[in-house]
Amino acid sequence: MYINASDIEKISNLTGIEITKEEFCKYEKELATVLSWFKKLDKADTKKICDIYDDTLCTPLRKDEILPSKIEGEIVKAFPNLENNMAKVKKVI
Amino acid sequence: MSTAHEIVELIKTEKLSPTQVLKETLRTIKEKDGDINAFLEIFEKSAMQQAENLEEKISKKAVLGKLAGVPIAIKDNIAYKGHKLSCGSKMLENFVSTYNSTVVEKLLKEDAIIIGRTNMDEFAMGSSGETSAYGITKNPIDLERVPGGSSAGSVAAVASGMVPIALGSDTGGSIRQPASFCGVVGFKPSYGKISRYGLVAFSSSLDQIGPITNNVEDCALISSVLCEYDKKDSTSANEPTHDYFATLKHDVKSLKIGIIKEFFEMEGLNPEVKEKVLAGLEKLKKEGAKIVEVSLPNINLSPECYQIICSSEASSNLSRFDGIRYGLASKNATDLKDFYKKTRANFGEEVKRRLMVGAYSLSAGYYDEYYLKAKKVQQLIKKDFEHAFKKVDIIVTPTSPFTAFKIGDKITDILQMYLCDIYTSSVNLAGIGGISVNCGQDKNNLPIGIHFICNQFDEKLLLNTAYTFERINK
Repeated sequence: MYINASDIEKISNLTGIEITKEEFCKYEKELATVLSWFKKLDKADTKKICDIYDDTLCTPLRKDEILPSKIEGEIVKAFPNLENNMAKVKKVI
Repeated sequence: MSTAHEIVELIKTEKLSPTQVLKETLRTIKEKDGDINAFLEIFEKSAMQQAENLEEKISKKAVLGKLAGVPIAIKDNIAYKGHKLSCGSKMLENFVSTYNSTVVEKLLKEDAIIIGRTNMDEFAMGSSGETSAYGITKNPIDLERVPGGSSAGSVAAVASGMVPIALGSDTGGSIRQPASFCGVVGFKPSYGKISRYGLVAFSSSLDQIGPITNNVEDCALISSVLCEYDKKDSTSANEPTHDYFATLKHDVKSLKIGIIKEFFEMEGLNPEVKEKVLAGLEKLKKEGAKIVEVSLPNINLSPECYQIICSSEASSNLSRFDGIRYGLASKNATDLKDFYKKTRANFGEEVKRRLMVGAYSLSAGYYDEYYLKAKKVQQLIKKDFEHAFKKVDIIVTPTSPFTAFKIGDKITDILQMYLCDIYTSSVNLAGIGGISVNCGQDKNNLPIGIHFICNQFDEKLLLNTAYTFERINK
């Protein structure tokens, strides 16, 4: 598996993580190692397995239903910093 | 230190007061934790308040909870209202929980004393306790060795006798593997059995909260409290509750135990570990259990499959730590994109690596090759277990292929570290339950864990089997 600088640049943008020039080589090598290791999965015969969902992977999920809720007040109260009953957040930029 | 069920008994019979237990616990932590670094914070004030409230309840002859006066530590990724939660990361250094997780609510309702939050691998990514931003946790059995991870602090706190019970989380073995390295009991129930509401998500389809204790009885006691349907967690299983503690019994007669052929033939399995686990199985055989060999042809692909799925889910789950919604914020940014990148560069090495691997696996052009392939292999592994459980009641493996290694020995070898979970991650992928119990020591006196696995929601049988094993192995 070959990973080059443009792959690292792409991954940096996807993850929103700054990667310094010094880190580029390190991650090229490490990601190539991990992604090559993942290729072991090619040994498995998955031809008969349908895409993602089939009954064998059933996560128990509750019914998706709309219920009455009066928690707005509780949510507002949970904010550490309030002003005129509005949540006050930190200045970002 | 007394066991949790003994503490409850002593408090209920008024032979010991909750403040006496708490003071002794605080003294032990102060004495031992300087060397181990299991705790990130002790909640002395709130714990003392809880102990005093409990004393008032006792004086009023009120009915006491199932965990009355038991000091319990929680992993640093479990929300406790008004208390810090950092996930072992600088990103959440000053974050304070605004609500209680369901497990914390349950502990408080049953009169437990929440004593503090424990160190962990950053965002639960690690198998050695070495990736926390707040320093390495050390193995109480040998301070030059790792305790395992990611629930490193929780396990070390129990193994060193600082607390009788701690909560951890297990995504690929993070409760069971350290329990094996430190010689205690670590239990990961089936997915959905314990509510994840208030647990910081790493890999939502695999994460599960579970207890760490010094014996199976205490494990059953706390599991009776925690294992219950919770409408606040959409993946919580609406299964009947059990009093695992009251129904514990010494009985494995006619129990069919499967041993996974592929695991015992594996090249990296330490001969001493293999020998002790097989010796443990012989003891169960003498008690009337039947040992059967089972084959799970895809199980050796678990580590690769697990790493792709958990890294992919992590890359999505951890996107919220952007300095705006959560997390520390960079002060040197020039624009919004730069702000995100500079802020998120504060993740530790292992977290960054997994987020990058996950984003790559999910990206256009590579999704089918990595993520989709892993999800398909996950189905094969789950089917392998389903076939095996048609023949046997319980499956046994070693918990880890080796005993606790020296600090620094594997941290630079990524693949070696990922292979630490080889015997445990398949259980998370299949959504079933597993428990690690000590089965002896190697020549360096380091603990070896035996790993019992049950079919989905068959925790009662799992705990009974582990209990029987613990008794006959003494």
